[in-house]
Amino acid sequence: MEDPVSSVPYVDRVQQHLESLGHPDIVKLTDAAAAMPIEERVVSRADAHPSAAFNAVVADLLYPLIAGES
Amino acid sequence: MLPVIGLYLLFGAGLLLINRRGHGRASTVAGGLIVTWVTVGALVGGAELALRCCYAASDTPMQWTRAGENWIARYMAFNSLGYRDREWTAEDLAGKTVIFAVGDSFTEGWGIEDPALRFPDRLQARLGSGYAVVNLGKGGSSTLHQTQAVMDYPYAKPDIIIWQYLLNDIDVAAISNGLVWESPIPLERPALIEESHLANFIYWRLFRQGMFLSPQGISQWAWLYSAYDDSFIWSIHAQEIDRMVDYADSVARA
Repeated sequence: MEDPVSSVPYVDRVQQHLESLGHPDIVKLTDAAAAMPIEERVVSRADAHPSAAFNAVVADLLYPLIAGES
Repeated sequence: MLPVIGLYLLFGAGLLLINRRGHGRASTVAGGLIVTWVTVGALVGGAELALRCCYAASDTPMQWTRAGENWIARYMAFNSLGYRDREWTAEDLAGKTVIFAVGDSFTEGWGIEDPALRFPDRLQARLGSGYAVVNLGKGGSSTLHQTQAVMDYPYAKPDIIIWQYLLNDIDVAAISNGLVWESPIPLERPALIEESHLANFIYWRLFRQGMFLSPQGISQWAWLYSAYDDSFIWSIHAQEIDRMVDYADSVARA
């Protein structure tokens, strides 16, 4: 959560692998993470887990996919 | 911690003795030191008590900090399957669109005091009662454990799986194939750091700055990236991913 940009090539590789298996329904969080200031996207300076605010963003990204699928 | 307290009390008793029975300058100096002794004792004791009883923080590494232990005790409640989720039954899930949210500490909601603020819970709230979002997040788990978690879930098969993937999911494949990241965290720490909340707080505040850098100067992320760059380790991890996808596909076909 601290440096989402440098992980992009590796996330892309996993994405390509999943797509090759017929699963294109992937929500990449790197852009959403990079767009949010670090002090907002992590729990605290002592804990780099995703904050409640970032969890809200994730739910917003997932909701249309799930509501649209079922 | 008891030897330290004992030594401190012994030192104070010595000062009292000199102050009472000594003469002239020695008695005066001991009297001044007693004031300092009481002040330091009150401050350190007060800080220890406050940290022990009142301070909880989702510090990293949470399982080794006393503040983290307090946080877990205060905010992490687990169901009978060991997940930070409500107690589901087969009857609860019958007739609903069952969604498994599986992943690591992100899905579990480490650091988030109110579970309702985690993304699976927010989804549940928005999707409504026709859906059941089951949280199978587990801190420290990787792809292998997560696949097993969805396969072993006893109360229902999923209609949808939300798989929260983090790049450290490759760690099992890396370690089992000899690519190990050496943690700088000493396995043996002085007893005082383990027992005293104040000493523990100070220790981890100082130590945390370098805890993601191995003694060889390799960051944990650089190690993970090197695992993805290793074609053999990546191929092993890709098979782990395939197993999760195979399960999802088999459930979809059923």
